[in-house]
Formats: sequence, C-alpha cells, structure tokens
Amino acid sequence: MKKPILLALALVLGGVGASAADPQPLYVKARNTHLKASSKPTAKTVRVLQPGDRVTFLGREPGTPWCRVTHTEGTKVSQGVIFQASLTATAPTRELSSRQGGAALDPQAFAASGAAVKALGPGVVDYGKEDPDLARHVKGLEALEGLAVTVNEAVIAQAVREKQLNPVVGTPATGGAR
Amino acid sequence: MSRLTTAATAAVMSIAVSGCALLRDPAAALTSAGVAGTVNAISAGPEAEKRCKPLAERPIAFDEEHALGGALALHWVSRGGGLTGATSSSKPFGRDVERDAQLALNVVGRNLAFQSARPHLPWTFGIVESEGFNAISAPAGYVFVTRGLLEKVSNEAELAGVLAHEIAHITLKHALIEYQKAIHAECKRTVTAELFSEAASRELRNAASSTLFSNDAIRRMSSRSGLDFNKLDAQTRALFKDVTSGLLKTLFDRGYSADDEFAADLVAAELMAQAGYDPDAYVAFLGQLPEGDRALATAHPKKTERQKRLRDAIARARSATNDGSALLPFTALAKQKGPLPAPLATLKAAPPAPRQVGATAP
Repeated sequence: MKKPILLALALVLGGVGASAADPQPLYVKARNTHLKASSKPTAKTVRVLQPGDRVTFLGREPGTPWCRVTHTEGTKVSQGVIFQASLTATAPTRELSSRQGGAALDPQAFAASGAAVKALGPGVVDYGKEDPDLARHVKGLEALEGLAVTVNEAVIAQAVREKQLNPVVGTPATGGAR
Repeated sequence: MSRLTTAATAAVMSIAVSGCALLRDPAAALTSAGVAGTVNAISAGPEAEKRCKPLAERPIAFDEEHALGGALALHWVSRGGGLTGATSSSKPFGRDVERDAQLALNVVGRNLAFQSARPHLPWTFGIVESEGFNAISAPAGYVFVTRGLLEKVSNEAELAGVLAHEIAHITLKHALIEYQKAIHAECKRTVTAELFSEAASRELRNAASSTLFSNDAIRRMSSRSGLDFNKLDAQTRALFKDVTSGLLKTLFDRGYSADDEFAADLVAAELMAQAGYDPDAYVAFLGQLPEGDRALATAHPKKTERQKRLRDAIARARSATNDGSALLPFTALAKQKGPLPAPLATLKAAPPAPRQVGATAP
C-alpha cells in the first residue's frame, strides 16, 4: 500500500503530473471547485465541480497558479480555469460502503450515499454508555459534531477570502453553474 | 479431573474472564499450567492462521471505519480530560469563548480536510482540556488538539500544520491498518486458545470457547456487509471492546511507525502549501516538540530527523523546473503564516474550565 502513496507524493512534491505537451486527465480533489471563465477576480463561474470530476489540462495561465482546463459531461464541453491546488494527477480515493453491498464508490457516489454525514452511530453511543469513563463524553462529542457541520463550504470560502489563503474550497453552485 | 487438567482449566478460565485483549500467549499459559504434553502446539498456529487469514485481507468499509473512529474518539476525548466547553455544563458549548474556539478550529481544519484525499468524510475537529502537548486523530475524520498544544502555537500556519499531519494519518489510513493487524492478531490468539483447549479436554474447550471469532463470525466480517457497524449488536460491541483496548495501547504507547510519521509530515506540508500556508512554519513548529516525549500523541521519530526530511522535500519542490507548461510545485502556492484566529487566541487567554472528576490527560 505504501509504494503507490509514496509514488504519488513524489509526483506532487516534484511539481510534475501534467503538461500541455502531453495532455492528460487531472482530477478535481477539493469540494466545490470553481471552473471559472478566466483568472480575473471578477470572472464568472462556469461550473462547480466536485472531487473525482475529470478535466483535461491545457496549460497554465502565464505567471499565475491558475490552470486552463476543459471539462466534459455528456456532450457538453466547458472550458475555463481552475486554481491549481484544486487539481491532482492522482485518481481519487474510492470508499467502500457496506450499505451498498461492499461496493467501492467514487467520491461523488459516496457523498450522495449519505454514509459520511451521520454523526456517532447508535452502536457507538451504546458502546460509550457501557463505560462510565466514556459515557459522560458522548453528549459532548455529539454536540461537537453538530458544531462541525455548521462549518460548511460557504463558511470556509468566506474565511479563506478574509485570511487571503488560496481559494481552493469554493462556495456551493448558484445560478447557471451546476 | 486430574490435577493437571484442573490447573489448566483455571489458567484458561482466568484468561477468558480477563478479556480477549489479554490473551497474549495462551500457549505459554497452558504450558505453565503443565499441560504442554497434551496439546499440539505445532498444528494450532497454522490452523489459526488459516482460519483468520480472511480478516487480514478483507477491505474495511466506511461503516466499520466510522464505528471504530467514533469509539476511539470517545477514548481520546476521555483521556484528554473532555472537550473544552463540554466538561462542566449540562449544555455543551454553552459559553461563547469555548464554542467560538471550537468553531474556529473547525474552520482551519475542515478547509484543509475538504481539499485532502478524502474530502467527503464527516470531518470533526475538537479541543480537549489536557495541558499536555498533544494532537491525535481517529479514523473517519476525528482530530483533537490539547489546550497545552494550543498554548505553544503562535500562528495559524503552525496550527494548520498540526491539523494537516493528523488529517494525513486519516487519509493514509494508518490507524485503520493497525486495527486490521490487531483484529487479525486477536483472532489468531482466540482460535489458538480454542485449539489448545480442544486438545486438552472438553472442559477446557467450554472454558476458552469464544463466539467472537467463530467461523461464522469471521465469515460475516469478511463479507463486508455481514455485520451492522451502525447499530453494533452485542457481539460486535464485545469485539470492538477487545480490539480497541489493544489498539489504544498500541497507538498510545508505541505510536505509528517512523515511516508513517514521515509520510504524514509530507502530506501535511503539501496540504498546507496548497491551502496557502507556508510549510516552513510547520517545520519550525516541530522543533518545539519535547524530545523523547509522546508529543503529537505518540512516540514519534526524532524531531530533528523529521525536520531534515521535510526541509529536503520542500527544497526539492522549490527547485523543480517551472517553465509555465506544467503544474507548479506546490510550495509556490504557499505564503501565509497568519495570526492565530481570534477565538483561539481568546481561549488561550481564558482560564480553563473546571475539570471533571476522574478525567485523565493523554
């Protein structure tokens, strides 16, 4: 298991992964990745992509960390730019879900399955309640999970703007964007 | 019943009532009871390996990871003295100072996690009351830092580095791999004990027999959909208790391997830089780790070695060719150190809430 991970790391750390001379698919890795018409701050969002979506790398916007890409869905081809940190050359991690009969789900199918949105399951709550040392922390952990889910992509995007960090995680789709 | 058989029964009975996690060497226990000549130690090992092999090879579904993560998270919170803001009140996070600090931690952590290799996990970040210098994670997206660690953090990039390191342990599934090993080892111990008891006498078989790793239980666990890890029936809960107690000890006393720690450091630097944080801040922060202590949860490799490896990796990335046609080296995206978020700075200045009786520090 370690060799593929180390290889992937080496590719990313080395700044390799894709070039215009040898177009290859890249994968979206960040939630709510905005495919924008241009790298200008006022540019419109063409589409909002999700982890696992494939794009074709066409080259970098000169002197910027924005990448020119195309995205194809069915017969619709969209072209624009994506902030580089939202992209990876590594195929996305698939998650196994026993609810789906042990199927390996891509990130979007996994998100849609609802498996990852639940808080502590009833079995773990029972597990905690059987041990007095753990029982008094069940309520607190459940409350923390409740707080955490309020920190959604929109909250993060706002905070990132204020802190002048990289705009990797975007706001949810609005208007014409998916 | 012969004297030897009675002694052996007592030995196995004491093992059985102590719980499977304590079944470290049933063969030795029986030998010490004087029944070595009545059992076939040569055949027990391979048979146990054969029966338990499916558990070492099965893929672990998210439902099981989530159940394990929740159980471990409860243990970490308990060992950490409780969640800050949830220890002394019937209404957790009723005070703004603690609630805002927990939220601010989640803003930093979830921003990193949402651009990690597993962006859709239910990521939850929490501050625990312990004054120790510690951060720790549990599968399925739980990350905790102590107030003692927050005291040492001087900017947001350092905090991001610590959180990114823990995120990396989760995305690389380090604890899950240890769990897989633990459950396989537990199965072999239990099955070996059963085989020894069969060879010794019917009474011993009754004493040592376990339903946790019966052929049916192994088959159900290996079928991916055979056990309900959301509800956790009594048998699965019993299994979890046994395995988590051993796993906790492994993770807390021994920690991850040096290779796992270095791998997590590299992913952390990458995540930080992509989010816009200067990874040098994390390298510098590692210098604050108490040498030889269980800083950042476990017996990590020497901090100087970690710093050297990280510096080398970052230097290599920065010197990579940048002709405009390929993706930029990740470090080119990093620039920010940033002040610590105001709610976390406020929490640092606030006195700790009263401790719960019996809370233990990591």
